[in-house]
Amino acid sequence: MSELREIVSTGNELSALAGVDAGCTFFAGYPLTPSSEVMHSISDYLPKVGGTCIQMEDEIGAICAVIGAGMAGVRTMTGTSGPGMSLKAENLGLAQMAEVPLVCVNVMRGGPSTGLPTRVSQGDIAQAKTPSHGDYKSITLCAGNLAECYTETVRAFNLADRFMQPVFVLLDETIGHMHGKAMVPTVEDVKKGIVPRKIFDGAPEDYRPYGVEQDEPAVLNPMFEGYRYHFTGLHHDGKGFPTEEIETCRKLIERLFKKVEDYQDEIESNEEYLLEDADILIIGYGSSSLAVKEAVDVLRADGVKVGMFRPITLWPSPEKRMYDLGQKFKNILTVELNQGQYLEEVQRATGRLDINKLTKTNGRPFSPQDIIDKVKEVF
Amino acid sequence: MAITSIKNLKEFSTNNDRFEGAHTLCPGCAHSMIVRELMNCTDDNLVMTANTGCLEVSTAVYPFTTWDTSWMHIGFENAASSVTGSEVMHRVRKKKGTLPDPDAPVKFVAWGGDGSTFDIGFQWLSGAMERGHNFVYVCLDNENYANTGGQRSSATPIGSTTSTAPAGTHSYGEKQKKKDIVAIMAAHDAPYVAQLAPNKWKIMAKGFQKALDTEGPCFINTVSPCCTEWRFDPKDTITITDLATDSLMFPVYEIINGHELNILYRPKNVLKVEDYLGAQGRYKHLFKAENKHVIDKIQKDINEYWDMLQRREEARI
Repeated sequence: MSELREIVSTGNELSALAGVDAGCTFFAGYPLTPSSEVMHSISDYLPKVGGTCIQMEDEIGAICAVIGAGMAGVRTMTGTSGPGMSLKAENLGLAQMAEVPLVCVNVMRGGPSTGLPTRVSQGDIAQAKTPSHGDYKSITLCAGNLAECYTETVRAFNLADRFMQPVFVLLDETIGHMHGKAMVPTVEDVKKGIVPRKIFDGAPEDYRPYGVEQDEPAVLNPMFEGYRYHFTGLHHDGKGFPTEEIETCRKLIERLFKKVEDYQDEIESNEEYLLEDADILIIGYGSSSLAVKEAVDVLRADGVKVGMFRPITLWPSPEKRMYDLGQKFKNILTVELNQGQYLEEVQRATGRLDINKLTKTNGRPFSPQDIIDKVKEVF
Repeated sequence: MAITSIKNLKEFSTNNDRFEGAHTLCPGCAHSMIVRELMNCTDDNLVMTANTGCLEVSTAVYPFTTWDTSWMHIGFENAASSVTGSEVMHRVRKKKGTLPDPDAPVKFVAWGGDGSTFDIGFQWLSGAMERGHNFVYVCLDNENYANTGGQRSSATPIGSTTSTAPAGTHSYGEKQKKKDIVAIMAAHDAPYVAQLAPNKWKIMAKGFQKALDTEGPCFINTVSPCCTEWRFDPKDTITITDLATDSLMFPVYEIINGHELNILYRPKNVLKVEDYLGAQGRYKHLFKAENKHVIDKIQKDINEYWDMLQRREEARI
């Protein structure tokens, strides 16, 4: 492991900084509590590196500007919260269909609707799986501590360019506004890790951006460079032109799934804490996992053998690992700040309905004591 | 019909107060003065909707409400659309005779800040104006997203520093000219459009009454100085508004039926814009030598706009 540097900052600001370090040169957004600081800080950072930050007239304008800039070949980013995700949904679907890479940071707050603008929730987990209508495979990362607000945002940019689609980074109000020390990679290391987007360099007349193998993402050359193709949200052929041809339509949607599913190992990431000798498994993610971790330590000091599994990549879910854990552990508890959105995924992956849940939707974060009490109550 | 007397402030202040004290707006915020003035200048029933913004979050803090009327908040952008639904259903039920008191006068009012009027709610407002509903839309223009941390809006004037268009080594702050919302709304052929200011309270109250009594969609832009984000002492709200209207940064005027323009307030001594800019922290950086050109530009724009207003008033176009 190469050296780390120390930054004292907030989750939102770290996420913005990560974007700039990862080579993002375009940000378009709309102020939305509790994500506004992402735009505040990046509007300060970007001009200094020759980048552009635009405050758009609304969330829909923001996502469209990001798609436009992404088509011009640069790394792009937007930041928002749940209500903004709802507004952006239509065009997130367009970006999935037309395979435009972008990073969308969602600092979750209480919902539905206006909800609890200044309070925490993890209510957008199900939404992140399919924000818009239609079939596709979302890539969603969830930061569980301050350092990950930085590292997961960097990873999101690399995944977006690799898989040619939007990548969501989920923060929540607690972690977005948390202020503290984070140990993060140096700018040089981040720059070294950048894998640029694939470019077609053959003759322009041979260029078929969507005419790729069934497990590959599209190859979109930047605008302004002489490679012409059609860009649409309609079902399209290899050149990008709208079509209703039966085989082409079938293959397109299958490819949108396969390009992610076949390479899930590249995306999957999770943390296992004291699982080896544990009797009880707690599954938590995001800011709740901080409370879970402390609860695990306290319970262990009391002689209760507890361990934690924390998915960092929420979608696609670590289903195989969760299946194995479901076989190994009789006692499982999920902890999340919603009414059990990820519990459903855990039930699906483990094939079990006897999983306990601890939920909270009053806008307040978990305290470790909540979890300790629950463990003592049910096991 | 609107309430009778607005002869003097003392008398006006004795009107039944329909915007009551229990709100959490900043001390010195002009929002409450404007809203109270509209609500107190009529005895008619009021049905109100509000976009998300300072006004909405500060006047309905559980378990209190400031509104002694029907009032609803739906989302950030859609006060104009929700008032559409209420207005249409009122008309339909009146026609069908299903209202308990069909002759009671009802006025529909939608409130928005400049963020939700100039930006995110613009399409919704334009739609409602075009469809021609019988309502008054009032924009409380404080030239930034004051509710969410002072970000720029398309009402933010050139040179102002905001949290998303910060002034510093690389920028003098906001670079775009303020959107001319009054002209845009007048272009919808609206029967009554105006720009009013709370320091000219009598002109403002008369403007509100005129709008409430006009059949069809009316739009009023009001300047609402924001001590928090404009950075001035809360006690100076009206002084700042005086500077705004007397420097012609905010000319007070109305446009009837899309073309008949009347200037409602002509300052006796027109002030230089420096006097207005210098009184606020958000323009402090403009007084550095390298930013002088921005002040010159603002002054030039003001002169040209005032000239245009005068010519339009004369030409009746």
